Amino acid sequence: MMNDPSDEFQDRLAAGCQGTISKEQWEAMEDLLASDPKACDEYLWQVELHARLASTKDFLFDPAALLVSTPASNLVSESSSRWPIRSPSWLMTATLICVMAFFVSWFFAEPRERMEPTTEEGARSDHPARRTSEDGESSGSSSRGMGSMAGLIRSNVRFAWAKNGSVIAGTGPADPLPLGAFVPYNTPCSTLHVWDWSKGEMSKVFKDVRLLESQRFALSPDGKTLVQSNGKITDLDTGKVTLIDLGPEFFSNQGDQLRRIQDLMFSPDSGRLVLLTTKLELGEPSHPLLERDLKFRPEMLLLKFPEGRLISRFPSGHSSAKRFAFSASGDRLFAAAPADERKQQIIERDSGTGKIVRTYEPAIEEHAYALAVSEKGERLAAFDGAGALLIWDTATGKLLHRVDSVRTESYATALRFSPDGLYLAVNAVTKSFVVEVKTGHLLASLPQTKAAHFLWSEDCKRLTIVTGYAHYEGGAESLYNHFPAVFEWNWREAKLLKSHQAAPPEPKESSSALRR
Amino acid sequence: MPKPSNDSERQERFLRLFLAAEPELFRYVSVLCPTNEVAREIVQETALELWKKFDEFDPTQPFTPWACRFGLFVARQWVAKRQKWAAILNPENAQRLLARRAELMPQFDRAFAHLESCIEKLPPQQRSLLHGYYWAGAEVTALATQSHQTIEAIYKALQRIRQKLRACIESTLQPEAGR
Repeated sequence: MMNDPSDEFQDRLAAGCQGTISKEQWEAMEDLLASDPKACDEYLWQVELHARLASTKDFLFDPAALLVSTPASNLVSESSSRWPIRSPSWLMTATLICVMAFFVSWFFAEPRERMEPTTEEGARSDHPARRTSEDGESSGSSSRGMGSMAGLIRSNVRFAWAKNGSVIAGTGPADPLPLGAFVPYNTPCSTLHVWDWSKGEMSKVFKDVRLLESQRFALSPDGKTLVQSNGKITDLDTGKVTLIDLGPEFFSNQGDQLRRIQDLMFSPDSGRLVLLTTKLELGEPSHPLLERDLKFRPEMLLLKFPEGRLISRFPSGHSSAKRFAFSASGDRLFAAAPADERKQQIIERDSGTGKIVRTYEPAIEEHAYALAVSEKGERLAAFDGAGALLIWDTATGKLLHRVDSVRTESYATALRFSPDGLYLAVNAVTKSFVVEVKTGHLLASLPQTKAAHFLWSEDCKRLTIVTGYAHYEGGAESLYNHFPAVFEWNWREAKLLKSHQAAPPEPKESSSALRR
Repeated sequence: MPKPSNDSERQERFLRLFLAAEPELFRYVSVLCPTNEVAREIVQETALELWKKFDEFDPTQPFTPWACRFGLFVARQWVAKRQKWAAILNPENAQRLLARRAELMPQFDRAFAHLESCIEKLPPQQRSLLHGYYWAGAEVTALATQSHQTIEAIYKALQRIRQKLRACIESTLQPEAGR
């Protein structure tokens, strides 16, 4: 048995740093690390020194040496101590520049070939993480635009949907649009549009309500009220606008702005509004020339709605409402631990006090990209970015299922339990899944791309899927914003029952041919 | 086709953040796999992953912890697809040691503030070896050939240099601790 701090341990640790350790020696060292805290500290010290030597600047570096070609024969001699630097930092910079150049050239070169992936494999390359907007809303491109330059284009439209209603609200141009419309990318979209697919496909335009992509806004679960981060409340039945005092939308300093309100979310009964904010704090200085450091802390404020009275406030880990879930009664709030905490766990809080009620085990391996609580509150689901869906019993905190069958090349950003709590809808870029909650088995895999929001029918037989907006390449204008569309499925038979989806613009060649 | 206006800005922003985070990311990954070559490979893979997912980065959050989490994830993937065996901590040890490292970080920062002055105190021959191995990226075989020593002797010499640096740092820290 190897002991710390024996010479043997030191030798093996050095061999580990140098890459000369054998598998057996390493395993013996791991055994020691598992049982001896002192060995752990020793390991960390040695590795830190080794890594700092390798990762920090060249202490002996003299810029003048760059002008001298040093012969390899002088490697160890004193005269060779001025070498052209080849630290990891330089290597990484060069590598990154090459990688980025490759990415950019790949994105811009021959886009047509990439626009029409005929296989699922082709679609997979367009990872949604690259195309997710700040609020976590999917901004994936349409099937034609997948894997194209769209991921590099800034989003200039934004949408929100009612959790329990057939309503979508978002930014749009001056005139009404159908669901799933293709709007040229450069079209100004600064007016509130509201779609209710139970009534029709065209949007109702609120010409007097200015709504911008840069704003944050939320729809009440019944789809009757829109609240913006600037404090405007719009009654979507009457168009009447009232105000709620949410405090400043931005921190401003001589024209520079820092967003304070990152996202908003209603409680299930619409009686409370969650503000996901950035809180500024003064901390210890990190530099001798600074008196204090300015720290940015995510904070959640729970307000009475529409009064605006503060109910509770507590630290938050994320700024996207997608990563939070209320229990049906609204008295519990579920969220992942702050993103910079290395142990990512799902935390359940009392929404009235902000106190932690439960921390769920096991920890998430990567990040929780979506959360959902069943209607009766007895089940909690989270999608771990490592690729698995986790389902817990909220009464006992016990993990019931770890579902790997929903693993794709993308993250799930939308989860929704059926009203009876028996099924769970899960999105991916190229598919949508239905999982049986009791067994964790995959019951259906629907060929529905870009799902961003799910709505179950009362009898749980139909699943309505709202797609996130996307970029679309093609047509006379080359680039379009593809607005949300709605698809209703008989999920058991994977049969599309109804869709609200505008026709895509004609390809450029066809358009010019028609003009001729 | 419209040219994205924010493309180069995005790249610049990423590069700025990444290069600032890179030394700490490298050290973080080194805890998992102390061999420099492996750690560098993982850091490079991590850079690719970070770039692919940069849109997802919340600018109100610190970049380095976000990058480190990816580093951990990439290291796990690396283990799964590696072609040959390499020294990488098992998940349990990795989790515990990373947590412990976070606790020790203030001590490390204090200690390694003296690293440069301790390197300067090394005899020229040792500084030269350190330079060749860590910063010039010379192969150990080349270092051995050029100095007419065996590879083992070079490794042993490097180990002794690290021990010496540690002793120097600790002796420098002691008067501070006594203050």
